[in-house]
Amino acid sequence: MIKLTGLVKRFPGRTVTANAVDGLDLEVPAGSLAVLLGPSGCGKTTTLRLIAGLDRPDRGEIVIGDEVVCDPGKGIFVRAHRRPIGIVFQSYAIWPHMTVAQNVAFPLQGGRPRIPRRKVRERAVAALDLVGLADLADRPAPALSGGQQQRVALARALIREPKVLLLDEPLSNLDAGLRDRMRDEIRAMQQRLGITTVFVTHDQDEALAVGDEVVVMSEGRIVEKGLPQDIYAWPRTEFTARFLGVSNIMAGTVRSVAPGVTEVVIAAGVLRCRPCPGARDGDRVSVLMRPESFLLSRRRPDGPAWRGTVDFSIYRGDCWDYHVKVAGEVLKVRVYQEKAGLAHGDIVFLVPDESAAIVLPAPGTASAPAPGGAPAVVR
Amino acid sequence: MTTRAKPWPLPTSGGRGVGQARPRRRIAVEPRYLILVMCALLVAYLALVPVGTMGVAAFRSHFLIGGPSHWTLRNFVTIFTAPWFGALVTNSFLYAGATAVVSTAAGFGLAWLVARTNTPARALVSVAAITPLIIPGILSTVAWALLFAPQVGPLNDLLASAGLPTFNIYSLPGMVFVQSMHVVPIPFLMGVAAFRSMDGSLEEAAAASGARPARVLRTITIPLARPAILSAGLLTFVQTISTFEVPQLIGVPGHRFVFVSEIYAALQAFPTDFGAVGVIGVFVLAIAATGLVLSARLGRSTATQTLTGKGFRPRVADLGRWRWAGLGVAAAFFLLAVILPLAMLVWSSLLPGYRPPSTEALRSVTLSNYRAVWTTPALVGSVEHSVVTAVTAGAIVTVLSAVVAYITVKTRARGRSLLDGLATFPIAVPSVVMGVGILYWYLVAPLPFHLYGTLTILVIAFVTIGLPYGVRFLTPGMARVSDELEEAASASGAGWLRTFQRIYLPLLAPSLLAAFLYTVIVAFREITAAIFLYSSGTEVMSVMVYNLWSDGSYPVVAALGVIMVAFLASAVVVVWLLGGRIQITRLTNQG
Repeated sequence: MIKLTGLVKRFPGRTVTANAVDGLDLEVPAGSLAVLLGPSGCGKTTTLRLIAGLDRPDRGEIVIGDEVVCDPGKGIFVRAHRRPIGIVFQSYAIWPHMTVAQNVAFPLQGGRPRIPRRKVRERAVAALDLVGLADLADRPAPALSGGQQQRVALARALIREPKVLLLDEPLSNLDAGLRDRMRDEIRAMQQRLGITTVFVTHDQDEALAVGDEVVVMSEGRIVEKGLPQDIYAWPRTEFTARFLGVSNIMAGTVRSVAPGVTEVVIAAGVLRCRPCPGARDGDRVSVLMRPESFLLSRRRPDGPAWRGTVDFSIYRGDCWDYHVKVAGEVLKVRVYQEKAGLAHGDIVFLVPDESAAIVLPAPGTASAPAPGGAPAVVR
Repeated sequence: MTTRAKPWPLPTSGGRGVGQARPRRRIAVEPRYLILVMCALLVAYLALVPVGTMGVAAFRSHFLIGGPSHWTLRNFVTIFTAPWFGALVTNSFLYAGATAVVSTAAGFGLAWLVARTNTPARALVSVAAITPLIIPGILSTVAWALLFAPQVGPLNDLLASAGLPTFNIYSLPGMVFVQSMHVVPIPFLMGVAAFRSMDGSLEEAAAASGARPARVLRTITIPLARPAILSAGLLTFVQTISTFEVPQLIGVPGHRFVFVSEIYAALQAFPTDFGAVGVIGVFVLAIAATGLVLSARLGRSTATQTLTGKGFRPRVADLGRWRWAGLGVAAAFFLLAVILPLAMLVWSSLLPGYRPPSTEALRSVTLSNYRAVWTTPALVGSVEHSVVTAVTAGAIVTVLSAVVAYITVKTRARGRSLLDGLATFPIAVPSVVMGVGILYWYLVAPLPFHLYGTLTILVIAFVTIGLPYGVRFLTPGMARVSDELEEAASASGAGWLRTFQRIYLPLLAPSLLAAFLYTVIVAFREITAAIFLYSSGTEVMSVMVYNLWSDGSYPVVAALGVIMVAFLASAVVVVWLLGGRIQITRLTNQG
């Protein structure tokens, strides 16, 4: 179990208002994996380093297991080497002057009580076996490939059987194919060992695939957190909606609020969206729709539909992506299982899947943090 | 050289007397290549002659003494079996080895403080590390000899009043201490580079693996820095074994002879055994070459080791309360390296005769020593000689290294990497070998004129010593001028000379000036080579400092030294300012 309360970290030389970590509260239950997700500079790596004890927070309490490892108010600060942690760095930090086995065995040595040399070797080989590298034990570490170094780093982080595993963008230096495989391996191993894990990444696919809980961060704060499927399907802020996946965000005004449905007027027409707690008549809001929540057809369908023109189209193999201009706004629409594509200027009709339309507080009107430097469309 | 073979295409308004353009293209390239070839030959001559002559002398009987001369190994046998040779080798290795260990340990310790900790005011150390450029070795040796003078030295006074035993500087520990202060910038700068390029997450991974800070230092930091540490140790060893001032000024009064002081003594003796000196010179050269080759090999292995992937950030350790101890170390080093030697020089220069610092002595402060410098013709002469030889050498080095850089960077001429190697070669030649080798060559060379006893021979030595540094400044500078700029000039109808004047000269100006000033600094400070090459009437300042010191005129030495420091300090400041300019030009060239 990891518990962070009111964590603040300021780096000297920056303006006082811009804290790297700015009042962070988070609890990671024992045995689960929390992903810290956010754009670069959002404070996710700093948070990880604070948990590890590599940096000192200015304020806030950190509890690992049942031990308070940091509480500046009480003058408690347990340094990194006394915390029950294992960490994998983005650069792997494999010591180039040691063999693979020496790298992995290092955390077992120099502690008290002393572990006999034979025992150390046995456990190092066992740890390497866990990551499938037992036969490379006596290679010099720099002779390994990136993926292998990654596995060594993982074995080294796990060998002490720490209470907490910390992973700092562990996959970002790997090739695309290897990345997916390592991601699944890390997840499988974490579940098998049942180790409490914090995983830092800026890659949304990675975050969704690997986490029990996804924590979206921006400007040193938590924007929102939740199950991966909830965070993706029902984001509560525009920041998360933009950061996770491709989305259409349309400005609108609430027309009526009824139980089970919120009607919003947008440029293209009226949408009967999912209920939005707290929305009132006349509120200015944003409506989020994913590209796959539209039904696209060439002929006017029976029910209500939006008429639009295809601006341009991208063929992606398993699907087509279209930019469709509707009432002066460009909507991104994704269509699976279509053979012939559409061309620029084609007239099409869109039927929105209203059960997938989500009302979000418009930026700046609600308590949600501003989207900040979030990219308009990720991907 | 064929005159006027090339019709430089000049604009009609140019009127430089090369008018009537009748294109004869095949001859047109000739003068350019002639210049390049001549410069290349000159570089080869400068680089190879001293070492070659030294080598020949070691294998000849009756070298320079008249009588029939023939090839022989007698010199080697005589020297290696001489009863004193064992002690000489032991002393030299003890002296250079201890200096290498002390200065490398101190340099890397300071480098760690500066590069990897949050010690306050650590910039003091960086500033102190460049002061040896400003205070030449001969002057700081003089200053330390005064500070630790047996009876009257203020530091020994201090020790005595504290009830501690005084420090006899005229001893092996004294030599090691003073020489360590001279060479400590080498390991310091190498250490800063090594620590800055080390991935901090390697140390953090160890901490996160449960290693205490001391264990992190022992098992990760030091092993990772080991190639750089060894390399720095070898360089300081080579530097120590080949310089003159400490062995002569500190070692000889303490009866500790090492290679350099032995060579100097042998050349003063009569009859001179030039062959024997040659043997010791070859011996020193072999040691230096071995050290440098090993050092370069280690340097290559560090380059490949410390590089890691992304996420690379050198980390700064928070020392906590210990950072005040770090501040103490930084301040103590600054005091030792800068304040004490400078203060001692200035103090001594202001008194008619040496007296320890006191309020009473303050009343006799006078500028008479400075007046003496300006009124004694020999002293004024030495200032003139220093300025003339340093500036001339600077100018020659600048031109030569520009040509070398042009050939190696901009042409595909065969042997261009050999040329680069030749121009860098003198860096591997110990100054003592350089001095003696040049001396021998101009004593035996069948030239129609005599160079021995002229300022020219000093200029030749300074050019040879400065050339490697000049090339180091100009090769990157030349590489930054893109080929298209030259091609655009020729496409606009400019000939080679005009391209050089209008394109290269302005773009290279900062590098050229830096190369010039750096050579001036190096030449100004040099004593080891100069001491073998001057003769009465051609003393330069560093030699004059030594001679005055030997005569016991300490106050005048100090005054001359202060003038020297002032000159060097202003040159260093200009180079420093230029450093910024060079950065700026690099940016604008890219943009």
